[in-house]
Amino acid sequence: MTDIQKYFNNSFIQPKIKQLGNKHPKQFVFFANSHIYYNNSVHNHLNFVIYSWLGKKIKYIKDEDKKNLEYFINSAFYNRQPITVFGDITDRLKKEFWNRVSPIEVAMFQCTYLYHSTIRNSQIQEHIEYYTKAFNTCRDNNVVPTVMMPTEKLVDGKWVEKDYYYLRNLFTDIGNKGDALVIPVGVAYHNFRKKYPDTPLLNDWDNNHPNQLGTLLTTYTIFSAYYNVDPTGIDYRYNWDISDEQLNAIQTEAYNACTEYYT
Amino acid sequence: MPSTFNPALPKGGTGAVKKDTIPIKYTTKDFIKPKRKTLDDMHPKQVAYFATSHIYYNNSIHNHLKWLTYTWLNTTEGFKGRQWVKHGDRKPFNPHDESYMEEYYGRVWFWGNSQPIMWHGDLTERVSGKFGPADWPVDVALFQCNYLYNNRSILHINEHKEYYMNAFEQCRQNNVEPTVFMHAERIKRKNEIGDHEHLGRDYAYMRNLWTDIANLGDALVIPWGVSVHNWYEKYPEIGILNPWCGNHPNNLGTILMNYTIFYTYYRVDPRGIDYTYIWDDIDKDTLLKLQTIAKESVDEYFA
Repeated sequence: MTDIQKYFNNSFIQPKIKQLGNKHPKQFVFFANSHIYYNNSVHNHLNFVIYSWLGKKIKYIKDEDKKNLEYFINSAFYNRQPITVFGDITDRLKKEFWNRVSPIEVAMFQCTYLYHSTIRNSQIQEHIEYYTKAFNTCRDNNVVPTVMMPTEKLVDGKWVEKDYYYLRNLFTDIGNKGDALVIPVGVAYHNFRKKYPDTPLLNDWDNNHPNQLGTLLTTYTIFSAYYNVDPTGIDYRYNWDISDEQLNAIQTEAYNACTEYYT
Repeated sequence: MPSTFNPALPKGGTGAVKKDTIPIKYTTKDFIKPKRKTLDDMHPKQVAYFATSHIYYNNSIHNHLKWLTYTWLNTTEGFKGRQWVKHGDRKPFNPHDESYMEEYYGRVWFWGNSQPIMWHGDLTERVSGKFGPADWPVDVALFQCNYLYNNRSILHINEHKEYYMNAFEQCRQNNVEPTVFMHAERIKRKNEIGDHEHLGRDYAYMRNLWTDIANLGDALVIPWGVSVHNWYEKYPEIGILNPWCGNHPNNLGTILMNYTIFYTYYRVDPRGIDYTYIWDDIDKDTLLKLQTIAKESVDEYFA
């Protein structure tokens, strides 16, 4: 049985899986919630970052030709529900389901359900079992599983510091138990707000979902984790009014979070 | 390194549309009339969305409809429920309390990247109320899918109709009222080359198509396509769709969509409700324009 208290230790559990190996993934599927689809969705932004990084253009194409896109991220979203709502994901790991020409290589699981004050040990255990099963289903289908570490919330104007330890340790444990790569988005947010306390990353009306900068930080952290590449210098900021300095700070903290977490 | 960002794609790439692929009955400007015109006496509170990026762009219509509804309710006498507060405290809502369930709420099941509506498969569990933390029953389901905008053969249409009818039936078996979202014609994309003569035809196609689908299943249509069409007729200089894809709503478009759904569901005149989310650059005059087009478009469609 999982003991929830062990996750609140400020000595961090170390991740077992530290990179995708030599893999250069091109086809993805995201199982995620509103933290990803806010601000027009990280799956779009990641796709655009990749193309910007490679210096390639995504041209206008006919709908029937979309299935040929070299890099592509498929996505399925829900709100408020636990990740377990997706059930058996076997079909959704297959290229046929998404009408893709190339096989799916990487799956990302993102869920904030375990971030509630009322979460019990039994719920954590249930989720770990689901994640482990889902990760194994991925491997059975030649898909590499990855899981996103969430970020702590701002409550009454203060970051809930203890939640950072909880989330970092919990999701590292989930990743370790299922041999999955953890994407340290929580680390990137934590370090960024320590360094730039006056630059918000979350919407001020809920202190929970990312604002535009937060969405870019999530995107660049996923990018750095998947490709092990320093994103500084990639000129992608969507169509938002974000300065060069802000973009550089976002990219730097994204990469540094991966370096810190995986080292 | 230089940016190669072209946000028009991959999501926006619908390509040219051949005229002869539109079934003839959907090309008529003598539009098919909707059979179902209101939700009758229903006052929906719990809505399940089966939808795509057109709904979740700009932080999701399910949020906006809920907050708009609360904003309206707070102007009514005696309402002591939840409030939409742009900056600050939102108590008594407690996001850490898993047992808490809002009186008005949207549950979402989204997918991205042009999957057909059939992707959702069997809906029984998701319209049953099972997925609400407090087990509140779902009142209304909204089906939104733009797949038939890009795939217009009779084969595609018939396949989708069959799914919609099955989905509507599952809704009714669970005491859920089905509603279906009429898509809008897209606009010319930034830097796009072409004469775009198909755009006028798209309006007729989509208005007739979604009315036909709804009529077959006795479902209510949300006439978003009419709102967009009327907006561009009246205010061609004010964009409501993203110019880089010509297809997803920008912030103004999301607000227009929100008021269109609100008026279709509640039949409450939206003019004067002060909801623009956190987008403070939407002035009162523009908001009134959006509310007025939403109301007039819904009235026109159901007249």
